[in-house]
Amino acid sequence: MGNGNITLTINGEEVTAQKGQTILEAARGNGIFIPTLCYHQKISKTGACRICVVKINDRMIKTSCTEPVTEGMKVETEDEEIVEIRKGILELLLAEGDHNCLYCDANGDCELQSLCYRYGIEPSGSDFPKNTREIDYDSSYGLKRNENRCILCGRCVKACAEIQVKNVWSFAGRGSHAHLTSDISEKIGDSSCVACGTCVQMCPTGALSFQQVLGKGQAWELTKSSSICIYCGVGCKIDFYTNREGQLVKALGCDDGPNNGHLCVKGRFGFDFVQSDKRLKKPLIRKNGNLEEASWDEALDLVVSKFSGYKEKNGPDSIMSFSSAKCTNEENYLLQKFMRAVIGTNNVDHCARL
Amino acid sequence: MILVNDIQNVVDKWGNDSENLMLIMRELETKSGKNQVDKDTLQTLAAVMNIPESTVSGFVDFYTMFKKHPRAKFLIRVSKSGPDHIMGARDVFDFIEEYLGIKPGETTADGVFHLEACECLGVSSVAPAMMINYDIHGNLNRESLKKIFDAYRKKEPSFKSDCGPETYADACIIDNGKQTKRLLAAIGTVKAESIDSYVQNGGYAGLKKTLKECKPEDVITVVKDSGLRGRGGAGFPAGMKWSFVTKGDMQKYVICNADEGEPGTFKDRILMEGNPHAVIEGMAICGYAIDASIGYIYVRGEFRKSIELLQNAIDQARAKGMLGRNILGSGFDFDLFIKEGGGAYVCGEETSLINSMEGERGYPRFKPPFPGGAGFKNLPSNVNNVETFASVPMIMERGADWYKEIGPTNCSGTKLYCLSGKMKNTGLIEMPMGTTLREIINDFGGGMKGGKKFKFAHVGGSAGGILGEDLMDLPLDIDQTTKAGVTLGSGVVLVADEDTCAVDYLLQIMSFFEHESCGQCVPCRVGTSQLHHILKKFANRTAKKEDLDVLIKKATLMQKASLCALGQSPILPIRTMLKYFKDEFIRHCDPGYSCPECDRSLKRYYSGAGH
Amino acid sequence: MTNSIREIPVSEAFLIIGSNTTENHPVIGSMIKNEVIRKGKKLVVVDPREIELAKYADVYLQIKPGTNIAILNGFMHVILRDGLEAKEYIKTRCEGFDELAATVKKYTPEYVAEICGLDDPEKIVEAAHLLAKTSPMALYYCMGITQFRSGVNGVKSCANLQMILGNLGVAGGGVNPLRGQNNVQGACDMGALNAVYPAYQKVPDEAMKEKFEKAWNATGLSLKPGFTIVESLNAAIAGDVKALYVFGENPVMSDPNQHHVIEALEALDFLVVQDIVLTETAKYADVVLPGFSFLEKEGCVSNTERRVQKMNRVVAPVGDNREDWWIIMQLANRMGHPWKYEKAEDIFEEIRQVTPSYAGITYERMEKELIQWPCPTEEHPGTQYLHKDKFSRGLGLLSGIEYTAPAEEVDPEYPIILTTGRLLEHFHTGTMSRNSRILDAIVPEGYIEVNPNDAQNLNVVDGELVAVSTRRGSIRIKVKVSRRPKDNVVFIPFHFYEACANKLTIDALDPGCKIPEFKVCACKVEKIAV
Repeated sequence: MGNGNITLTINGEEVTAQKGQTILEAARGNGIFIPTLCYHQKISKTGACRICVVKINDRMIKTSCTEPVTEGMKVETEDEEIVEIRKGILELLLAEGDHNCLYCDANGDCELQSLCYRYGIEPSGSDFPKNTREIDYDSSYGLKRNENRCILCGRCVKACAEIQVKNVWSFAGRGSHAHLTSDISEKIGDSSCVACGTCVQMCPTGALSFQQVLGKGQAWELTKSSSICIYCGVGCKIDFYTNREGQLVKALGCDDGPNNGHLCVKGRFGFDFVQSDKRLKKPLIRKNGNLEEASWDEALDLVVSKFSGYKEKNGPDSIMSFSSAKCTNEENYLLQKFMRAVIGTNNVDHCARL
Repeated sequence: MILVNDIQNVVDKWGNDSENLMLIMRELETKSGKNQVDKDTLQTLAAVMNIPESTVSGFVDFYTMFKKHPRAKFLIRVSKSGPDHIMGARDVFDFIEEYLGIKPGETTADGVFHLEACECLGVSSVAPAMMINYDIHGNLNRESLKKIFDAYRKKEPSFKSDCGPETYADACIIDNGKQTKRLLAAIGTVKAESIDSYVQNGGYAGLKKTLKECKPEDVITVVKDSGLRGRGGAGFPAGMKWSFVTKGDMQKYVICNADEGEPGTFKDRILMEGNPHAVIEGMAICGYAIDASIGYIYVRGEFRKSIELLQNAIDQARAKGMLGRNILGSGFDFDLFIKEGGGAYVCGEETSLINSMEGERGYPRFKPPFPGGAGFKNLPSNVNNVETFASVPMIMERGADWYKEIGPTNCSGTKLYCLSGKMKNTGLIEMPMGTTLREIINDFGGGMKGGKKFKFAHVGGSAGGILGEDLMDLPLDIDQTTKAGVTLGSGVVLVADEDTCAVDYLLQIMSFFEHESCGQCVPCRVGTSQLHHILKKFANRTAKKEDLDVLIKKATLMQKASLCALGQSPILPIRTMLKYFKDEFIRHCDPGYSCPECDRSLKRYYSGAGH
Repeated sequence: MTNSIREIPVSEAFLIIGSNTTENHPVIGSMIKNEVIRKGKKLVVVDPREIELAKYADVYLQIKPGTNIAILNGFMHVILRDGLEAKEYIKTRCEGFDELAATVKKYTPEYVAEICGLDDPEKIVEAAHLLAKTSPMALYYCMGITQFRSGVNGVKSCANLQMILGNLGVAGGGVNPLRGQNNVQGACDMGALNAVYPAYQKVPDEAMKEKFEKAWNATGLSLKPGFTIVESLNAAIAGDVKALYVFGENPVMSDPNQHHVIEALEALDFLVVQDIVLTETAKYADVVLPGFSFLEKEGCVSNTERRVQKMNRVVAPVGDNREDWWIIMQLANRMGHPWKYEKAEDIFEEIRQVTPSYAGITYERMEKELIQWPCPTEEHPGTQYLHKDKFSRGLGLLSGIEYTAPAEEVDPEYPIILTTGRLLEHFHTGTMSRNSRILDAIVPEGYIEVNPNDAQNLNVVDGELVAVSTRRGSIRIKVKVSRRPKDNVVFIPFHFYEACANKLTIDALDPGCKIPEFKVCACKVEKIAV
């Protein structure tokens, strides 16, 4: 093919991939599904869960997330043996942890759950002992941790190391006793965690979850809409999730924005003020020294009559306006137009300097 | 508590780079006087080194030699691996409990001794063995144990090893004149402490000849021609491996895998302690061949004595100009440094070893990329075993044809076989590749100990296969063993007699795999734990016959899907054990069946707190 | 930013000066950390507080607050002394070099170390060499450069450095101010400033007056620049400003010298506040108009890299609130201007007509493309980085800038330097972050960061309540003993009305852009007798 392109066969179909791509990337690029758990496109490869194994040239079994494509390679993504292996791995994972979806925050939004469903895994009835690992629901204001739901895929460790670059998480212990640690065996709330929540966003199960922000809603009941973070000037794009009652539930970083899906603690958790009971709900007018609720007409007419009065009597420059760096371009534009074209002054400024 | 300044000094001594974490940790642990690296120390260390606390914590947690909790002035580690198990490890624990009043995990009331169970200490010919701080003692029995403990009560901990004489290199070789000595010829002749002695016995002639007469590519050709195959266990042709190292201007590394952790193996230790310069010389030649100017020997942390002797040899070689800049006026630069392990079998896997060298948890890396392309610090690196490197100087000196004179066509040369278990004689022998079990037991082992009946041999280490009578005449070379469904591995020949219970023995093997699994990949992490659990059920007579199928099914899944050789291995001992002793396993399914061996292990290792 | 966030991986070195990036722009902070820690890129950090990035810096210079210009001149002195400047670039693309060279001549490392309170002048040399020898090098700054009486000069000094190193107009380089609010860039672009129309078209310009009168179908636009915020407060006290319309701002909390702000608000005849909650400022209002929060409205915002992005309605509005643009339109309509907008996009279409740099941007493109102004036509891809082949003014203007001391220096009565800023978990005046449960729970109250040495001298311990006073006011606040601030420098975040930093700050202004000197004033810290 030239141009660094490689031709290979996946499930009997000839497909094209780029040199240096893995089988998984080539498959996904061609719309072919291969299940993954530890793999995540935003972090370096791990190759640990082994769920993405495929058969190469009818003999080798390799993880597709790590194996580079080669010219003429023949790949089977899901033959009987591969399915058997995947089932085996899922059974091991289910036996290792406490995966009861009924009580899990991730129910309906869990990659392990959906793979178990896909491959028809039944409870094994086996008596293999489970290691009891840490449950820490309280120490952090932002994050909850239930390691009995952890599959040790390492996404959180890498998210913290490679995206937030804070390295709060690491694996501790070894073998079947391996588990997560934050700093040196600290509770997450006592650790150096900055609550950016990226680990939670990337957790494939319910091991890490967000502290409830407002009312609850299950994955399938939530509606997603994107907007831009209201805080600093980076302009992170955020997917906000609301429930059936219209309450905000959670915020996930959106990949399209300048943030590439990443958020900080403010973008992640600083949105419930929108539905706080401190919100103003009606215009207020000061009467006898107190601010009292009024109708829009009353309030607007009062402002207009005052502004008109000062404009007439003291001149347009006796009226000043502060515009807002927290408001949209349209609103800022309109306010300065109002001051300039309606009042007749250039008395408009905002907090650019503050 | 260790003071900030002390920690700073240790970091300054070894260098503020996480690749020195193991050495730093080891010194801090020794400084603690309690065989401990506590949380405060770790926090300060992370701050001093400006590395994440979680990194330090995860590192310490991975290596079993380190603990965050206080232990004692003297830390006793008793090996419970296969050879020690067969040779009486349980008796050692029994005696310690009786004499010192402690079980594994406990400290004597006076704070002098703390006991732990550990895996093979690399002295299996003198099993059962234990290590006290960094001193290894073998051939343990009630009398020797008593004497040892009484002596330690009067000692102060030291960073220098003080191993029992029974573990010395020359003492561990079976010398009956029947061997084909190449690697072992120097042991006992050459003084390990003296480079002059090595040179007088023809040492460094291979390096001299190489630098004088060969171009790097010629070296690779000679090594390829010699048919030398890796002696670590996988048997990959060494010259081929060298030729795969990426070429170019970047830094490249020669790495010697001296993390000899396969239960029953002790050959590399003997080479390092008996003739360290041969390893250094072989590595230098490899460095020349692959254009690497830096080499590392990654030595098991338990092998304090090997480390001391190697370091002494490196210092002497540097002083003599055999290491360093412009070696022998050839313009070739090569220097060598020691890295240490921390108690992790999986670090014998070359990519785990590299991660460990970098100061990481010893997780294996997925391949490709192979170390030849991206190894230490992601730079091209060639990793070979101690025995492999030690074979290189003679090949270069005497030529490929000479080397090939011995051994089968595709597995040329001699092989070091490590004899342990229930034979009259145990120790190291060097024989042509392809020596049979019968020859080994009869000619070198002197037959079965105490006239007992042979039950099986476990060849190749814990990851190896079980050989019964039918395979007594199988040539133990790399290819024939594979063909017969077993493996030569690193050359372990552990012999069990009729007193050994197949279930009890396999239980120890599965306990070993669970303990040593790194926990990174799912099949191995969960699989090893489940295999161990099933074996426990057989041992306590609660298993069902169908559990044998589960055992095979799980181990097969692990073989197919595990990331590295560790998880791929348990199927071999399981399948081969069941080939011979399935009935014995089925007998164990009967709750009424009496098995004192299993009972003893269950009581010793699986009762009390934590179980 | 002259350059773009996605160029961070292109930069080989970073100079972070006056920006606590990992706390105030955390996502960019992480991206920079990633380059430095994981890829070994070079980093020089200049900040009076030992911020997180200082830990990873190749050179960290803990300067005295208010001495940025001296250190930048020091860098340039070393660069010119050692001949490390981009000679060809200076020759072909800049002017004013001789003046600059003459000015920085006296800023020897020793002289600069003295001004900046640094022990080791060699570190200035080391930093300068590193910055000069690694390219492209990106300079990032924030309010730690600008919030001084010499703020404009600080910015010019940054530009000087980047021009003499040839780092302007190249990918991965640039002078990159990190904007502190989500649409501070856009508010400026839209002409919410006293002396410019949208796209920085100047007010005292007949042609512009004519252009906008025509575009807006209006008459009598003023040629006279208006008041800036702090000036208008003074004018209110003087009786010249009678009415104030505060839209989404909280000057009682955000402006320096709170006492003075309140005095001004009380002097007004009429105050209208349009906001989402009853802010500290709204409490002084005559009329309060409830607007929409960010998740209730539609519109667009421009981020720190000039990227224009669409905001969408996520939740239904609360109460009887109205779109903010609707409220403004209503006022205009009721004052006889028949504006007719039905949705935010109608306004944006008008913006495009009068704002050349936005002319090519549409709502449709925003949804689909990464689009940064200037974008003059719908076919234009937008501009990833500015000054590519030439500067907007032609040649880049190098100017000799002298260091000048802050307005208020320490004296025996007020012996400690106070500097202010933000925390990771909070934002500005707290209107939003302190009404977010989790953020408020993580950091529920303010504190004063005191160096351990100073804490010892003051005989105060961590958590102890102290009185902090300046010539403008006094607050009570808890001590946080921290290694972050330099000796004799204390830091107070300004988010907390209970311990309001801006009761203390000084309202000295930069003579050019009128930015207040939030970052440095003299204070005293006193133990409270029990």
